[in-house]
Amino acid sequence: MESRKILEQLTAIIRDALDDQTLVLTPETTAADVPAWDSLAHINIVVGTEMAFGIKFKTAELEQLRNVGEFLSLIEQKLKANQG
Amino acid sequence: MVFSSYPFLFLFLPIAFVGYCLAARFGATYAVGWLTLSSLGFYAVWNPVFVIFLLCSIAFNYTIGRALLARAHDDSRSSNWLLALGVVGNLLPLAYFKYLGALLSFAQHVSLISRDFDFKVILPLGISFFTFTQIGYLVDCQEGEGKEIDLVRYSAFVTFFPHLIAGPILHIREIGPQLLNSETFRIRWRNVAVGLSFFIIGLSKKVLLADSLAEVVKIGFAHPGDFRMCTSWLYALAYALQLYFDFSGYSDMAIGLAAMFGIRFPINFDSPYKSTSMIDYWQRFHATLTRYLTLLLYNPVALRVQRRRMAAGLGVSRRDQRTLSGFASLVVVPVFFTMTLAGIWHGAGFQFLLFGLMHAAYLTVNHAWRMFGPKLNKDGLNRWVAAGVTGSKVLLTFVAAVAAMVVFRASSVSDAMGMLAGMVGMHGFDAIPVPSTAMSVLQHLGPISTFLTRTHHVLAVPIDDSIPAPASLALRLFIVWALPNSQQIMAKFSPTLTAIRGAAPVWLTWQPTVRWALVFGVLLAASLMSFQQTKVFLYFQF
Repeated sequence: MESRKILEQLTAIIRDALDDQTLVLTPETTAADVPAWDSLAHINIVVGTEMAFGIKFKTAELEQLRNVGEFLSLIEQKLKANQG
Repeated sequence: MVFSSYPFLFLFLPIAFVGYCLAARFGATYAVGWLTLSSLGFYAVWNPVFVIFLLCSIAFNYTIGRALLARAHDDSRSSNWLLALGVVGNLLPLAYFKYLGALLSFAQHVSLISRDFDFKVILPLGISFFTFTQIGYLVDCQEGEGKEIDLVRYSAFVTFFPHLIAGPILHIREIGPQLLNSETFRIRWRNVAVGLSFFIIGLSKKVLLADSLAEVVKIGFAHPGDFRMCTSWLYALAYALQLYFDFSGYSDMAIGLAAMFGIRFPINFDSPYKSTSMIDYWQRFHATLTRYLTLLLYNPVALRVQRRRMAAGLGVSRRDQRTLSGFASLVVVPVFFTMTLAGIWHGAGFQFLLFGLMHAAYLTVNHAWRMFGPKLNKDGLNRWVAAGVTGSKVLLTFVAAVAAMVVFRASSVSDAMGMLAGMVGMHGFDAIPVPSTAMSVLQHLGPISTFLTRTHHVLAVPIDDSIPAPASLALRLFIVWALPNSQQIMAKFSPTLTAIRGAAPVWLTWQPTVRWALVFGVLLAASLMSFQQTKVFLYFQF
């Protein structure tokens, strides 16, 4: 799956989790930029992403993410590992 | 040996730093080895016997860590057992030193046991902090982090003296790469200047703003039920400000000291009293503890609940949380679980349990408001109205935090209740004490002074040392609310790992100039002259 498509799908998940259909995400967006993105919302986003892409994250991986871009590349990495 | 003492500043620090410069010439491993050695020396000054305990703890955790790393990529169950063994091995000594005495005396108190054990042990300094750091390390090892870290570097990671005793709580993935990078050990005078300046900010917070409140806070909390409304608030505020300047001062000093040695730490305090909500507050107050608890307690519980709901066909989006069962399982359970343990982490008393429960309740209300409360659209608001809304949010958060801090400081739950009862006016009302000089100024203000004295809001009470002076608290609140924080002042040379939120005005941004050297020189001199009354850091007891 190409990055743009993943970002689109991720945006839909995050919009749903944060209940904000106008939210626009770029690879540089951080959780701190979005007021409603607290630790609870983060868990919802993670679980929503796991379901949508059929992948599973480790606890430590979630903490390291600095922005949406890193989240995207982690998802890509996991998808590749699943295929391979 | 506390950071704000002559032996530390004029004996230990110069030896540690010069030794570091020399060791660095021979190579990174020597420099790291020296950091460990001097840090153990730092710990030994306080209690040499516990150095052995610390070394055993390091050896134990490193061994388990290596074993976990060897199993990191096969998903066998044996690594879970190993991790459990490691966690228990860390928690047992913590339980022994910190909780056993309290449990035994409680058991005796409620007549579970009849024998008086009279169990007293000295708590090894910083045990909660280095235990937490190492449990975090084990969890990271299980997930394959920190393979390249050898025993020398691991020991330096755990013992490095700026954080050994009271944090910030570090992760191996943020310090490990720095210890592996040979660039870290090139002495740069820029780092020394920036680190020293950061240290001086912290030192003056601690010595000038926190320690000077210590005596009066002690007096207040020795008789917590004796005061009427105004005085109770003065004591509560005095403690909230003492704790903030003490602990954030300590954290600033830790960041500054580490920066002198070329190592960057994460931010621990980000102007918590400027928070606009309780959720926000915990992101800013003792941030590395919050981060740690989120990672190790909150996330696992919340993830498990969410995954189970998903598997049962229930949604986890914001809409699905808006049901009572959704809110209970997604918010209430994980928040109360985490905050109760966070409370007890601070000590064995019931007041710490209550402190945790209060914050759990605050956070739950905060989440409930976000989910069920009215949505305010800020865009259409007048600038002044918007500022008013923000201001009242900050004030509400602060008052809630102060109430919990009273419980935190009190020696028992009933003491805490005494102070809180005073704060809500259950012991009657009293006037704001104003020093007689200020009163004579007020008297010239004509109608205002007549109004104030007639309504008994102000009395010409001579200020004595047993009540916190309102003016000194006001000054501290001004510093807390109106001035930029340490990392914003030092932002141009970003000596921290975490990104810095907000910026200081240009004239308050530190530069390597004569003007700033003078300002910091004066701060340092003022701090040095106030060392006589210096106190042990409040967080050393945890």
